[in-house]
Amino acid sequence: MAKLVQSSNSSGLVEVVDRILDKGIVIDAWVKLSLVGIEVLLLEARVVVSSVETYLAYAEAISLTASAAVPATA
Amino acid sequence: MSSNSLYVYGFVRASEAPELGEAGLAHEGKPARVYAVRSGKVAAMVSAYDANRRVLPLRRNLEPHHRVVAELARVTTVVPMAFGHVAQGESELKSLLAPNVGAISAELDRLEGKVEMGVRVQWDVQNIFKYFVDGDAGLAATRDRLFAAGATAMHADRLELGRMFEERLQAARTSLAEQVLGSLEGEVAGVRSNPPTTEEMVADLAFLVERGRQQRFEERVAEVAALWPPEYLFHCTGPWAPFNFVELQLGSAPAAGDREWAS
Repeated sequence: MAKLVQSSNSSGLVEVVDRILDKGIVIDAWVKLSLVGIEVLLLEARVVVSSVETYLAYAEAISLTASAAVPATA
Repeated sequence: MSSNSLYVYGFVRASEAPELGEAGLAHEGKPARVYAVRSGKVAAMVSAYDANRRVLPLRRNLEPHHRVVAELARVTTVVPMAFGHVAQGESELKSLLAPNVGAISAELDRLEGKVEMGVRVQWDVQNIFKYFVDGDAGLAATRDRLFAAGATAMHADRLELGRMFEERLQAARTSLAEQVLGSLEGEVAGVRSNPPTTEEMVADLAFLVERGRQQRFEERVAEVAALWPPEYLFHCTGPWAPFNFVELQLGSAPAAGDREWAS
């Protein structure tokens, strides 16, 4: 059976941030959100976009599985 | 009437606006009092905020915003604001509320008695790439051809391998997400699907559920998870305010002189 985690809404900053930063009503005239000077680790790469860089990264990651697959030779 | 700027958390029915005490973002050195600014049938839940301060997405601001909205959602119906909204003062706030009372009220009616439950399904494996390559003869063969000892993988071949992986990933997600939705959408009032943000994510779903059916929904998720193979992880969260289900479009307040825009 698959693993199951059930948590209330108070757990996990990621789940909170995904809602209060990306969702809800936006009124442009009132937005005073500032990202200046903040290392937005939470916001980096929040959406994976198909691109040349992505495909090359996938190929690199798959190449690393090759060494695990090659049987050791005597 | 207060001349402070006002941090805005969301909209509720004027008749159901709770008094939350000093629970808001910090103002003058302590958590500000969260209170209602009413306009007809609706109210904006606000707290005093420094007119000259930007709102930084740091824990010290994100947490009170989240907790205030969560408490509002616990006791009433709330149309939540996204993080970081500051109105210039009560009169400016009311000038936006007044022409939109009907729309906000209709939105509150639409979301009445419902909460949001989040369900994320992930591949819970050590290496998502190995997992897919091991399960797909085409991917494995291409990998072996490109990366066998002594081979030189051309740029175009690498791109093709990467593209193949993504195609397999998306196909798997589509099929699996359909199964999850088919199992869970039966007794809910709405569903939203968000784009996956990592390779490991199968589906990122939000369900609009009647309050009285929350526990049954959680039980249903557990039933579904029990039927899936062990390489999957189901993460059920909530109840949330209906962040993924708000559809309200508001007409702007009339221009009031120079306004400072976020840079």
